[in-house]
Amino acid sequence: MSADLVIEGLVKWFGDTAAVDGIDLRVRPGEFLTLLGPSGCGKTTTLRCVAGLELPSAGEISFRGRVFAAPGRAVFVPPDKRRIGMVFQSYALWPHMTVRANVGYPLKMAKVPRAEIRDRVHEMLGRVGLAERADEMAVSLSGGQQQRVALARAMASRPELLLFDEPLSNLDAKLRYQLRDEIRSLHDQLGTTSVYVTHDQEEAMALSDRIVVMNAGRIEQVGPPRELYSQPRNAFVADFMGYQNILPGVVAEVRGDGHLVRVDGSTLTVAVPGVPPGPAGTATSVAFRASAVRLDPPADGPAAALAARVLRSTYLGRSLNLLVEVAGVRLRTQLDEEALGRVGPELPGPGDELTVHLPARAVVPLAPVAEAAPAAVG
Amino acid sequence: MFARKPSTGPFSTARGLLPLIVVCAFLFAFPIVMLVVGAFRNQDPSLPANWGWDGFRTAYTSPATYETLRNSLLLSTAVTVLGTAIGLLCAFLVTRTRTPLRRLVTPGMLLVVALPPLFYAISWGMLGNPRIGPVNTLFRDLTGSEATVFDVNSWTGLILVISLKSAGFSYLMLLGPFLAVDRGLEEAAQVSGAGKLRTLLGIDLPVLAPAVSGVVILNFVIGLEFFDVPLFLGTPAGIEVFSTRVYGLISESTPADYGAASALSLLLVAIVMVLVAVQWRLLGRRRYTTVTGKGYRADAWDIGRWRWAGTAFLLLYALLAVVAPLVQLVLGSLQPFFGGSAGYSLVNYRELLAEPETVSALRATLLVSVVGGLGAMLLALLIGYAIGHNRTRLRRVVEMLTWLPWAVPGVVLSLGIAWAYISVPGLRQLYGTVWIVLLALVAATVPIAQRATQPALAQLGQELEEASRVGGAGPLRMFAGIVLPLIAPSFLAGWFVSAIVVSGNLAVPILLSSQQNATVPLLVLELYTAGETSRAAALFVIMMVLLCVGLAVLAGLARLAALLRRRALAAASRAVPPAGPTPPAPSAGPTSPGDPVRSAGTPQTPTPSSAPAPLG
Repeated sequence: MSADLVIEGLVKWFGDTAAVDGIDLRVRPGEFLTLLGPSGCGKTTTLRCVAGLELPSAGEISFRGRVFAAPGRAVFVPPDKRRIGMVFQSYALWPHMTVRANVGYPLKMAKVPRAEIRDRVHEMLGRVGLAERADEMAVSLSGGQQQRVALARAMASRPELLLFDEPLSNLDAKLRYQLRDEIRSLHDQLGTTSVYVTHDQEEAMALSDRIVVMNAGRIEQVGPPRELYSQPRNAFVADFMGYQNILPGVVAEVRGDGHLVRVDGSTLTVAVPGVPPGPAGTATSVAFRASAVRLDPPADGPAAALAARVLRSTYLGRSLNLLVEVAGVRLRTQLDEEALGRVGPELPGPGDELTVHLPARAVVPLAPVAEAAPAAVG
Repeated sequence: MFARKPSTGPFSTARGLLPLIVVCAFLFAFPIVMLVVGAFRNQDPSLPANWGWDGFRTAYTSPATYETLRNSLLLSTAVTVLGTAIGLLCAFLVTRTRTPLRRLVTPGMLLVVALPPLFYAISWGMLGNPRIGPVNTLFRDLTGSEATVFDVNSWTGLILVISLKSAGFSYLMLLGPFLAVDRGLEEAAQVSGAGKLRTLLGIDLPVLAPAVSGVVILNFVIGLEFFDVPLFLGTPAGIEVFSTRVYGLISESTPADYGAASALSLLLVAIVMVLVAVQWRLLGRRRYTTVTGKGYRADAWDIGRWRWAGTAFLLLYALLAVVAPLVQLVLGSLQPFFGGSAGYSLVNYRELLAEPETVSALRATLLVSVVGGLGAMLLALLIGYAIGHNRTRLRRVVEMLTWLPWAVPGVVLSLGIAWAYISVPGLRQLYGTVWIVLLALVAATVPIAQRATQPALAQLGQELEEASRVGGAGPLRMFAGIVLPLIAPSFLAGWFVSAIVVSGNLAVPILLSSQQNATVPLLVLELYTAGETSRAAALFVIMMVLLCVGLAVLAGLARLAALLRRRALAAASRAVPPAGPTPPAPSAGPTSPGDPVRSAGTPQTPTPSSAPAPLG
């Protein structure tokens, strides 16, 4: 498969700690790839290595066959020679310049003729809807407008590679949604390859062709949003993708169309689709979303009926969150409005006994986190 | 295209830092090392060596040495207490109360810091003259008595004058921490039932304790290093302190006892270094905290009628520290004889400007101040930039080296520099020229220049630079196009302050200047000690006026250049069909509270400290 940006065995040490600990990644032409993970997982360091703002300690980074950095061979292209665009978290607009001068700066550096700079700045500002503000000082604009200018600046010189370092995290929610869509549509219009860093799972899902989930300097899983959402590989990814119930257990029984897992410290067994990780007795874990647990048995497919006692009940209007105990295990469940309507006027409260159903196809088997192999995806 | 030695920018690697380390070591560390050599060398730097322990014997067996040590400690303690107290009170009044006139305090304190100690020495020497000083004559006129109420040539006078000046430093260093205190902490205490005074003592004071203790130690160090004021006001009263004794060993012994002076200096260097190390430990680990827009709210405590007491205090301080000395200096310079009743005339100015010696001194001083101030600012800028951009261990070496000029008083530094240059063959020729004076003044002024550049550099977000690099600018282009324009206002202001500080420096030229290239402070000292007080004042006024006019012209030119450039840019962009309605003038753009460079445009950036940065 063809790849634009190739990262091989990237390692970055800060003192005695490895911020990036062996990353292999291939980004396809025109792809929008997101590095997702909690703070300190190495996603920003990886991006900064690609930008040339950090020197990698080991490994190799190349773009369209051109080696950007290869510390082993003493190759390092400084950031100004990489012909990339980057959007920063703090916008990083130069306060002593006008909007026009900010956007035109990369073009000026590329020695584009003046008249052409003018036209292209005008065009880019038009794309982000700020053509009329071109002669104002950059910092006199509002936060959202500033980030739009930063976007225009990053894209002004038509870079083949665009980097985004948490560009939306300083904005409020409404602006965030709006700019998110603008970023994706600009990416599609200009046909660049983009690498985006965020800690916001929803943002990553909305924007990306593929998501790379990182943890402690390593890659936990790479895949399209839907794959990560429905088939997290391990407990870390499942937790990050919003799986509220992650239960360690052992393989109890292998069947033709799946297997049963007995949850540790309990008599509860859960039916899991797919090939078991090993024969009966092998340690494993399973995950399912709170919203997968329901009051009525599902019309399609098998489901386990579980006797539950309510420990805590939180009413959120659109849904009711219940913390229940099933055979000594605490489970989180979420009942939507429709299900609530059928419960009756009285909402379940602490101490109430009820039966909940867990559909087998909602349960995801997980690999242990420690053994997560470095993802070699291409 | 491929860099052989990979680096992400200048100064980011250990190798990139080396040239700067060499320069700093040469300017700051080498003189101190040579001071040790000089203590054993026992001879005028221009004469052959006479190795031995004589210097130490003379310095440490004389009872006079221990008296000066006691005097210095006493003076320093008194000044620290008084100066810090005034600074604290002013910072409290300005940041936490609605005291009338509080907005004038910061500009006033900047003036106090910028005015050279020499200015205070002369003007208060006149004000508090026991026979004819206005303080006493006014008292006599009012009461009809013949008594002398105040003699500035005394312990009281010394402590008062130095404290007035130290208060400026203390205030500016405390202002940042005071502003940065989270109001939420106070509100929490008040909600918990603590009264205002209780909150102030129980919450604010402990929170501010590290900053205050840093200021206390720094004031103590500055107190130990004061030279000009003790020389002018202490000498007539027979009060000798450490730095005047070091100078005395050279100027008053025949032959000049360079060995003893050096040996004595070493003790002072040792004491001050210990204090500086303590201060570094106290404040060094704390990160530079910028005052966030969020933390500062303009709500102030209503202190009721006490606010008039606050105003009275501010007025009294302004009178003693700014108004009275300034008025006295100007009026005194207009009297043919100080204290005489011959009326006012320009005779002093006419005669001074007719003397070729004075004119050449003025020329030398202006050159040394403007060039030396620029040199100090550039060096400070490079050091600050390098420290901010280097993550290798060598960074600490640079930081430590830049602490040295703090730890060494001017007289001691020039002594060390004299030894340093005399011992390097190629540099020996510099001895006695204006160049060695210039180098020494740069070294002595770097700490102040650093205080001026630090806040500006700290507010310069690193992403602003990175955006430029990613945008295709090389390191030099980035520095010239982004860093320099953004810090230009602070840089110019810092240059201004540094130049004034250099112009009033007496301690360096007193040992390093020769008769041919004497600077103004030397002539001022000569005139003052010869009893020609009015003429000394006139000379000082001429120098300050010339310097201010010169710097104002410089600043004006810089402004004009920036304005023209902006016009040209605007004209260029108007050539395109305008995209929308008339765009507002670029300069009209208000600066939002959260933007990365808050300092750009405000003239008050040279604040030698608006935050608890480690340097004083």
